[in-house]
Amino acid sequence: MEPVAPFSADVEAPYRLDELLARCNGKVDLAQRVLRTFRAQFGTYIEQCEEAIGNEDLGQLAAVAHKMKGATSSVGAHGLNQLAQSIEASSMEQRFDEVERLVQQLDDDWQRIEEMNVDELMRK
Amino acid sequence: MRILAVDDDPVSLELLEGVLTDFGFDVETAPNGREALEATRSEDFRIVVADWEMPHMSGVELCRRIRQRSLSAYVYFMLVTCLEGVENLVEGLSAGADDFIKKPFHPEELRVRMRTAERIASLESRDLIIFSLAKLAESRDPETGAHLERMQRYSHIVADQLGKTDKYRDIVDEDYVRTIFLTSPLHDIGKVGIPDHVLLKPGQLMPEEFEIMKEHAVIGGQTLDAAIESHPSAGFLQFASDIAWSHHERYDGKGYPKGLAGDEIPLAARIVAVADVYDALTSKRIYKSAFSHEKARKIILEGRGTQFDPDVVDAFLAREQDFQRIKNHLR
Repeated sequence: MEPVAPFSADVEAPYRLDELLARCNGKVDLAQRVLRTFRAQFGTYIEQCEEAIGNEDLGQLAAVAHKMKGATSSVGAHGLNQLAQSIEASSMEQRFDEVERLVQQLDDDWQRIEEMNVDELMRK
Repeated sequence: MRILAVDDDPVSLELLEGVLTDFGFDVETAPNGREALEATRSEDFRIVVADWEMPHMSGVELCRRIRQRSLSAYVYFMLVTCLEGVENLVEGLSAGADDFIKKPFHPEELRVRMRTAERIASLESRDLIIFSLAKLAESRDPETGAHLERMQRYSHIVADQLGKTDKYRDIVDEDYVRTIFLTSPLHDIGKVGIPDHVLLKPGQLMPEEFEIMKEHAVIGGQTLDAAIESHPSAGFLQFASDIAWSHHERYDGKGYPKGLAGDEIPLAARIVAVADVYDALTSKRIYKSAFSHEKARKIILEGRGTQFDPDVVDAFLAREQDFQRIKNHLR
């Protein structure tokens, strides 16, 4: 039986916008810019993860996961951050099956999160 | 003031650039260490804020490369890191980093640290830079008040007194007295590497916490030794290193970190040891009231020949009125 994933991104409330706003010194326009950059970048990171898995290059995967950790902590995306942490840790431990499963989970969660209207979220 | 912000994650870089710009800085960005190094070669940046972990050239390596070059002006280097632990701090400080900020950072913390960075980057005088670096380390310990100012004066007085004696006349000249005044504030610079839960603990330290606290002598000594390696002609750095390494050594060999005894302990450190203890005893702490001069004098006398160099204690006694005057004036 496949082990259950230790973490899964909270796809209903993926961002702690209060945290993001605080990190942006209360500037809504900056928070919106950072969130847009995050949304534009995160898909690229997932592609890089999948490429690293395809090449069985866990060193590269750990490096991408580390960047994802920084990006997700910047926007207060705690669920995605925990998945990124798990991917980085499992990559460094050379647990290939585990990272494959975690990256798949990350991709699934991200596809659902990506559909959200960020501007609408920021207005709330 | 122009700032170079460096991070290989575009999200973190956008956030860093946005917050620094909001603080009123003129910010340029670089997406990796190599481009950042190129940027510092072609443009005048006085402050660099760089992520620690980047591929190809890490923030630490970038810092080291910038320090290796003889720049006309000092570049203040702040590392942004999610790494913790003394070893990492030592590595960063040894590479020449001036400060660290933990990721994800809070804007207010960044603002305060940037103010310090701006102040230090603006200074041209060696003496002011030394004192400001010492102040930076001290700024994490809110209880110490004018500790550094008193320390350097106490050390100055003891050295001046020793220089009047036959035994030390040839060693402690006017240059020596000036140098101890200049460098004694750096004695605790290694405290920048001590975790908050130990450094800021409101009460007596547990044995294991004290072991961590003792590391400040090593961190300070190693940091200054790294500075000596890159600037061997700066003689005052050897003085500062001796003091940082050895100001908690005891004359009887029971001190730390190396357990040096007697004359193995550099004279400057033996002087600063008395100055530091006198100030600690006569200052208020959360866990104790300020001792009177008489009580501090008694404790120092009890340590003559065991904790302290007898000659230094005698110099202290010869000038104790000066100590009292400074204690009362520099609160």
